[in-house]
Amino acid sequence: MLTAGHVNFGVLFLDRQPPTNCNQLSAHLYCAPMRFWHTPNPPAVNETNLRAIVRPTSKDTRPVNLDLGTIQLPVTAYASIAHRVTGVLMFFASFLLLWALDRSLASEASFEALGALLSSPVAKFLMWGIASALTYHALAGVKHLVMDAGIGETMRGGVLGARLVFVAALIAAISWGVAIW
Amino acid sequence: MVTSVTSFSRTGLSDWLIQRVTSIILLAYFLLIAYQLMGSVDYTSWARLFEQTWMKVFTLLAALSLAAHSWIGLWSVFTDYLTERMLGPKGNVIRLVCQLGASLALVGYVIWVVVIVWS
Repeated sequence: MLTAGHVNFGVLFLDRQPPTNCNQLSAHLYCAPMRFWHTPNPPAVNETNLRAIVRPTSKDTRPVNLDLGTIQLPVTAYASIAHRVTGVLMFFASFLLLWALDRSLASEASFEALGALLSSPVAKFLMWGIASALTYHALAGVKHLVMDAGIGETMRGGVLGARLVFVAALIAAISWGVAIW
Repeated sequence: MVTSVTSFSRTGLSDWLIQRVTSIILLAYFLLIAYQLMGSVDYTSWARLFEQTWMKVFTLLAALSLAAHSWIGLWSVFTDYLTERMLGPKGNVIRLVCQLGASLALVGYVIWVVVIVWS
């Protein structure tokens, strides 16, 4: 049984099945393009990279997860994890952004006060972090839309897309740094 | 079909579409804001921008999109990591408390935007 929303979407839309040798798989590993699992030589899932967790109340002794700490994740998995981390960060950053919007529009005096506050080193670092996280999240989101359109759904395409997003986000982060300081 | 009572629109298919539509609205809004902030910004032009009706509507639309987008995104994260399997017997309680907290915060964000832009 798969739990993540985007995993369900993948199954719904692409009609591809998860591997049969495990009954629960991490969302990020599964977030690799589905054709990953249909290659002639799928990644080996064996005793060394599969940790069996047996539910104490169940007679079902089949393994229920892959231990992500013991297997090598593809770059697509790191792209997915970073997309989630930056998304959660933006949820919290939204509070600061709304506060800044409020201050910027309340009055001319509060606008000037905000401008003075934002020139402090801590505020600049926060602005850089939020801008960089948002840019990464947006780029990874665009990659999702591109893949929804059927472009780059293969393992090779997925890896290339993830690498492009990481490189573009790095360039953007450097650019934000130059613009802010 | 299994449906979840805490997901945004009850079905994954609908959540999937909402997540993409809201992402495009948010991307357009942030691009507009980034464009406005390029170069020097003074209070008069900034305030005049937000006085216009289309900008007020766009800002409210972005706030509603942020709430829906965050709800769906956080729900995905919560239901993956804040579970009984990951956290033990209290997992479900922790997840529901986090979901409730996030939902209240997002409603607060929307109300805050209404207060900022429409008052």
